[in-house]
Amino acid sequence: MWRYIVKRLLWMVVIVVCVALLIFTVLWFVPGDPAQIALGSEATAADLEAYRELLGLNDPFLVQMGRFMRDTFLRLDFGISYSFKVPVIEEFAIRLPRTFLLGAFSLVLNMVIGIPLGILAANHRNSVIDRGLLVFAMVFSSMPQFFFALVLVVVFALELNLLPPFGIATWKHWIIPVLAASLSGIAQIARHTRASVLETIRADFVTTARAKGLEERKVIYRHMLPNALIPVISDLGMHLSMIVGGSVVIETVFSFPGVGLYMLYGINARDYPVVRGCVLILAVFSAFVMLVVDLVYAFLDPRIKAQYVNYAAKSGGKAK
Amino acid sequence: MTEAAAVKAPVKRRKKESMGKQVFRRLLHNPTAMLGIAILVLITLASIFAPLLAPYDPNHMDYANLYARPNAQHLLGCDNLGRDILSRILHGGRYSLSLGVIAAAIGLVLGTFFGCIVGYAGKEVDNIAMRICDIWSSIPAMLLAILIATALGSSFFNTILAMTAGNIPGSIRNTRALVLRERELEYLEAAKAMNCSKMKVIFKHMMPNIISFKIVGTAGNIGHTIMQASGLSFIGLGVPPSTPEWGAMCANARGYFLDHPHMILIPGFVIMLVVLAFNLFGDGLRDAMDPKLKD
Amino acid sequence: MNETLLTIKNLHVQYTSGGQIVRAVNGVDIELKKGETLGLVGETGAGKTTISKAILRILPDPPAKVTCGEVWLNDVNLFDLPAREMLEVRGNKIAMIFQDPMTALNPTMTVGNQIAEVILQHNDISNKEAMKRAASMLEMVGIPAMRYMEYPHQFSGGMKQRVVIAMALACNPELILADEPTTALDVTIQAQVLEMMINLKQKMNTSMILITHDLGVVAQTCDRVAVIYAGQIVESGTKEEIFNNPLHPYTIGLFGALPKLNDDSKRLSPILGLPPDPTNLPEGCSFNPRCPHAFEDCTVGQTPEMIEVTPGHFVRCILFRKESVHHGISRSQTS
Repeated sequence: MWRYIVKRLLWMVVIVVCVALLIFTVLWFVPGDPAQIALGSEATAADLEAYRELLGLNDPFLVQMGRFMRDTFLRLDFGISYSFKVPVIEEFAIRLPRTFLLGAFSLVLNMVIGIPLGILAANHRNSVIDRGLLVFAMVFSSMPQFFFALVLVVVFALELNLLPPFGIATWKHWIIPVLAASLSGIAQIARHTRASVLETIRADFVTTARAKGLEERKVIYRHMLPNALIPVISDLGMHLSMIVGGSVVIETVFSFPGVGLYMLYGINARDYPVVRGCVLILAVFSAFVMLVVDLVYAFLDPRIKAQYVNYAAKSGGKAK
Repeated sequence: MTEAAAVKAPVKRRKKESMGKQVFRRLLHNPTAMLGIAILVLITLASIFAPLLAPYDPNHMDYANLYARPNAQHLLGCDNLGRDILSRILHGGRYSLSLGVIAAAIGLVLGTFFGCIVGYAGKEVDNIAMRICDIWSSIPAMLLAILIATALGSSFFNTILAMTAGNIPGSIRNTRALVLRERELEYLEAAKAMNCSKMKVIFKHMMPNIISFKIVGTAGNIGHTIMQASGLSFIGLGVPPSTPEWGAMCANARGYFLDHPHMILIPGFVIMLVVLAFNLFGDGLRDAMDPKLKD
Repeated sequence: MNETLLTIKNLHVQYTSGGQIVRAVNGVDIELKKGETLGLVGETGAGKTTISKAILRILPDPPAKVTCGEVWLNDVNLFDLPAREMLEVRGNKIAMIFQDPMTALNPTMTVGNQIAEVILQHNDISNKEAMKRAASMLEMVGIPAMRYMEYPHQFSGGMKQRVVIAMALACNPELILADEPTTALDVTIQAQVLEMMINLKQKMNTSMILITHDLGVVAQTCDRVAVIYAGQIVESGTKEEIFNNPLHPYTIGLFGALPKLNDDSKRLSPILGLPPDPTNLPEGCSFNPRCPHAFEDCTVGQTPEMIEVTPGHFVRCILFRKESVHHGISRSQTS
């Protein structure tokens, strides 16, 4: 198993480096002069030129890229924001935990609500519960995130006055954003779980388990569910990716001061270091969680696990 | 034996239908899929005939009716510049639908093309291509779209590009999986045995078998793309707010949300309806292609 | 040896699918003695698997429903047992071997534990003891016990089927329902697995219902044979009777479809036509549309009754009604 983890970690390093190169290259093409933005419209041509020289913006592409890679990975320095004049890493220290929590809560909610709902629907196939859940899932997975977020604000904050609409002052402020970020994922996972369970219910090995005389409870929890949930778990990475992407939208709607909102400031201000840092950190964050999900997945599915674990050693002989 | 044959009642032949006909028949019997199709047809027609149907010019500013709530004169109300929302929705359908369809279609074509090549080319190409896809898809699609939209600037066409970029790796991977499954089948052996060239095997023999699966997936993809694009527009990086595109309408209405929620709820609801319709249609197609999956 | 173990009386099973009723099993009677092997022979879709699943009451309901019938194991009607007690029959008194070993094993559980599970379920013993017994079961079917901790995907098809067999035999069942146990295997492996099954069965003095469409397998293993067509037994008797003197036109057709080494004919003679549509069975004898000897009487009324032609040899065909024996056909005439 360790071999697999190490291999995956190394691969993640490759991914992160490539993503960094990609981000730098894409943003190279962004129009607009950072010096102008940093110094304002009154700056003289000489000031601008001096500033460009200071930041190394006149150097060739590869030199700049090299410097960016060195600063980012060797010194963990994402540069200083042109417009805020604050090191990007300092902003991250404050903002990243918020975005991380938002994402983590959503992912957990996706699983702990989506999966049981899917199982429930499958167990009551074609009943009122099932149809109700299907309609719910269909509608919510078709709803643009911002739309749902705004509906939540209208209903819970403006009409019912139960929860505060914007900001993150108390834990209550988190409820609507987390809900808004997770609902479409919950709906999709519920649908996926239902389909997977219904497919597994018909699997031969479930019939085998019944033919063994196992109680229905054991048939379900020991044989059916572990197999039915494997494809669902393997898809969690994709959901996480959606959550991270969606966090930008959610943070915008709720003025939630996380990395996503910071990135949007950066984009509007043509503030390269901010944008680069934000995209990179979000990509690394999602790559990391995907790695965790993959490891869990590998642990659950012996077909993958077996490639890396030497059973022969365990059972004292040579395995096939 | 001859006399026996004469006695024998004619053997009833089982009806054989083409795959397409079967799928279509099953689709007709699926009420939710038909609902999806009905919504899609209605909205598509409404968008095509928008100039005839729309009560006002979508860009006409009626200063007497700024922020008007839905009323008899403006069925869905007006926005902050007094533009008629119903007219903008009707015209916006042209942008939003074509955005989704074009982006999904590009993803389909490129994904299928490269996926076939990757799946068929052999181990080294496959390995490299898959690693590239891994890296590519490790950036969340929305982030990639934001990145591209930032670099290229916000326009209708750039939004399509931004959306497509996120679609392609998934499409390649999915095609490759189909190709690998298909490769095991014997008709390809037969084609190879008949000395078909590689290209011919891929594009003449294998592609037609794969393409139907790909198209089924595309229906849902269009909806998803429309939804994502609206999100991109909403944060100000998609279609510029002056365009009567649904996502852009929402973005434009963002600032007036607390006082005039109808400005955002109406286009938001329309987006949801269309995405829902595409999903229903896509699920219906999938069930019709593979009836085993349904109960 | 002559004690009756299993009696099935008038079993009817139907499936409901998309508003249509599929009559899969239509009045099957089976009697099985202790230690005996009965071959259930028929085409795909004739209802063989449905019968075995109905015995164990593991048919998926819905869509399947046992509409009528009794299954007596010794002196207990399984259909009257409460669900709880039925659990003790499954895997313990009656075990099943499934057709496709590729899919019959749980891919996320080690093979050893899958065997130990059934032992643990039906015996009041410790985990450790169960694992030990499971390991010895593996050895018994010819798999080294050290592979206990491996997963099904690490086994070949034949090996998987051995695991399935070990699982079925683990609790010393009185009856084994073997549903095409060798169909999914390579021919060479088929012979091995079959031989092993016969040996183990004899060693444990277990009765078996062997479901197959392979007459070669029947010849090798069975004491008695029941030929099934469209959910009904159309002919039954000892293996020798059926093989040497088949009476029902369908049975004769089955033999005609086999290649013979000592025959000059260049072509096989297949049974013409297709199995009947089970949502719309023909009137009269279900086989009449394909039967070379069918005449008017065959196409009206109920399906014919079983007729005992010689003691123990039954056939469901009006050609053998007392008054129409002269219509009787023999193999020499038709082949």
